[in-house]
Amino acid sequence: MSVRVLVVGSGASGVHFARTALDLGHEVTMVDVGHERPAPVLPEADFAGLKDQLADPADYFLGSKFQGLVAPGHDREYYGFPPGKDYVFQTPPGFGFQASGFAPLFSFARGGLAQVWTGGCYPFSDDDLQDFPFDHAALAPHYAKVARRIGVTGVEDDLARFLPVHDGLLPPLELDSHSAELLAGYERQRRYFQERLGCYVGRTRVATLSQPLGDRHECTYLGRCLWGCPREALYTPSMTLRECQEHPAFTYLPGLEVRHFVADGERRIRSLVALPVQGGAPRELPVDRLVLTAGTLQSAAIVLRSIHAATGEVVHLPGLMDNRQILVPFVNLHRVGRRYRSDRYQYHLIGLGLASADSRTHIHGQLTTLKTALMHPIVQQLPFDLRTSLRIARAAHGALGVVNLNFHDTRREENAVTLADVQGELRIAVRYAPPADEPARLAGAMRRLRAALWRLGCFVPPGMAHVRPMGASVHYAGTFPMTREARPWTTDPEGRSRDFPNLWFADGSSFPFLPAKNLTFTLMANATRVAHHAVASG
Amino acid sequence: MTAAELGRECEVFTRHIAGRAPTPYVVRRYTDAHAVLTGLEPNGGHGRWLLRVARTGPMLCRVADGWARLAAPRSALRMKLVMLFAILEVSPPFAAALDQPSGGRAWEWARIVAAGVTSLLALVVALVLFLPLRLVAGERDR
Repeated sequence: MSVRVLVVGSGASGVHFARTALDLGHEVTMVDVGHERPAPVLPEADFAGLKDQLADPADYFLGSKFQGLVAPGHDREYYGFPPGKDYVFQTPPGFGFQASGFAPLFSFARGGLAQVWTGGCYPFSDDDLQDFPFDHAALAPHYAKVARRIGVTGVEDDLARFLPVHDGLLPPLELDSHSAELLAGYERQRRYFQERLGCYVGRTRVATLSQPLGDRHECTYLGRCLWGCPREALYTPSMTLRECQEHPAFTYLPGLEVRHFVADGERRIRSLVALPVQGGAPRELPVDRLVLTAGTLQSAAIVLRSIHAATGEVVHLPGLMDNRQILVPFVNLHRVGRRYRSDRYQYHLIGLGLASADSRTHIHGQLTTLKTALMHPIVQQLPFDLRTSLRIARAAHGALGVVNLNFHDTRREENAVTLADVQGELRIAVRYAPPADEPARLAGAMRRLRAALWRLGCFVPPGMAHVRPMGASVHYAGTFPMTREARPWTTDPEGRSRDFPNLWFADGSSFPFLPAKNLTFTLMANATRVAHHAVASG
Repeated sequence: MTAAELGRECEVFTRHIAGRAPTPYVVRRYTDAHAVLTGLEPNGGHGRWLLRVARTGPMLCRVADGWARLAAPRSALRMKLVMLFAILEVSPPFAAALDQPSGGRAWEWARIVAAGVTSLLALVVALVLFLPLRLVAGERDR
């Protein structure tokens, strides 16, 4: 029998939940704000070609109001997103939040925050899943399913001890020469790396096509990953949304910001209240089964507002998690003065794992060599006049890289999401404090990474490593954790709320632990898993 | 500032950064930026003096730039130069020339050393030109 499911949000979780439910023969309605990506320009041009061929290249690269310019003394976290991706962070009128110790990013775009991801696909291992009420075997078929849908390249190598290998992997992308040299350096010294440093290096798994898939093209190394792959070789969730929109049982309702739901006396959700973004009266949508995939913070906000609207109660949801990240720039001294090729894949192609005595707390890093990029944010940092700085940067461009280290996080009582009165309006409020042992963990990891890079001929300039603020990794999770035992504000192992019987969480809300990995691939696989249960249960 | 004054300023600054004159496109975008960006007007005597010296020609611009990087990193001069560099690096014909080494490795190392020495000499001149005013004015940053 076909069931009707109302899904909130079109991010990585939402579209894979929807696609699975549709494949299983059910009806899906998706409610979304849904800001749209602008059409790509000059789809066949490479990065250098864009500069040559665009009539107004400054408008494209820096924005019509120069919003892409990184000015001297800028004090906000630098994400490097180009103006063409402004739509990802555009918020509805009146949106706001309160945050302490946390710098959250929100997205109301079609495809959500993964519209700006770098494609890292890292399955959770049994070690990573120790706090989950299921093991890797329960997720493995869903990883394979998602991999076939989106196209994931990778190989089985030394990183497999951290990243379980699943079916459906495509052949890897071509390495750029810098990445190839670093990987070869590791292979020559493998024993030293593994035994002395507990460091393992290998290929990252990336959702970028090395061969065509459906109507998407394989990567032809245009060097435009960051600016938005015009060939759609680099996967983003809006592509799966487009596939869903072609399905007759799918209804997409964009332009609506979900505010809260309305439940009956038995806590069964009857309707969803959404505000048209363009203004006008709220819309009330009937609910049979409701699935929240709006992202951990927005899903929490919807539940919190619903409870407040019904009872006046302000609930605290403890356990918010995010991966701490450190960006570690390095210079490969062997490559200074050598030319680089701009027609290369722009994002990370190799990664590393730093093993720990506790297998849950290993550290994962993505190593990105610098190819195509805007250089003014880097050049202005050098302690010279711009002419001299430019001379140095030009010679060093092909020698530069950055490691993005990720650290695990656990659910802790003090890190909570709630509502707060901000200038007369109830807004989502986030509070976060890092664990006491964090500084020692970060320092230990930095020492090991510096030693590993040095063995590869790379030098980390003093004072240049950047500990990103919490919230910057956008790997939010943990507010409605999956647990075996029934407790308030938790879900059962299938993602079903224990507080509202026809509500499911299929985003990061239900993760009870956050390993040191990008969680997006697991969000997609888990949403696929939850979809099977949500449409099957009574 | 008038468009003509901004055009002259852009010419000097482009010669300082890239060693050649700007194209009409670069001048137009440089002028446009002044209509939408903040922080391009000096807010004190030290900042005005930096700009006045920098506008006189590429050599003194290098002197003022090197000083501003260390003593006034948020000055209007640095703002203008970084903004101009951002325009140059995406605009032909500068884009290709600004972003790749042009010789062999030994040659590049030699040029880095030469640029560093020149930069140091420029800084010595800058100390004479700017430090007294900075001390007298007691201004911070801009």
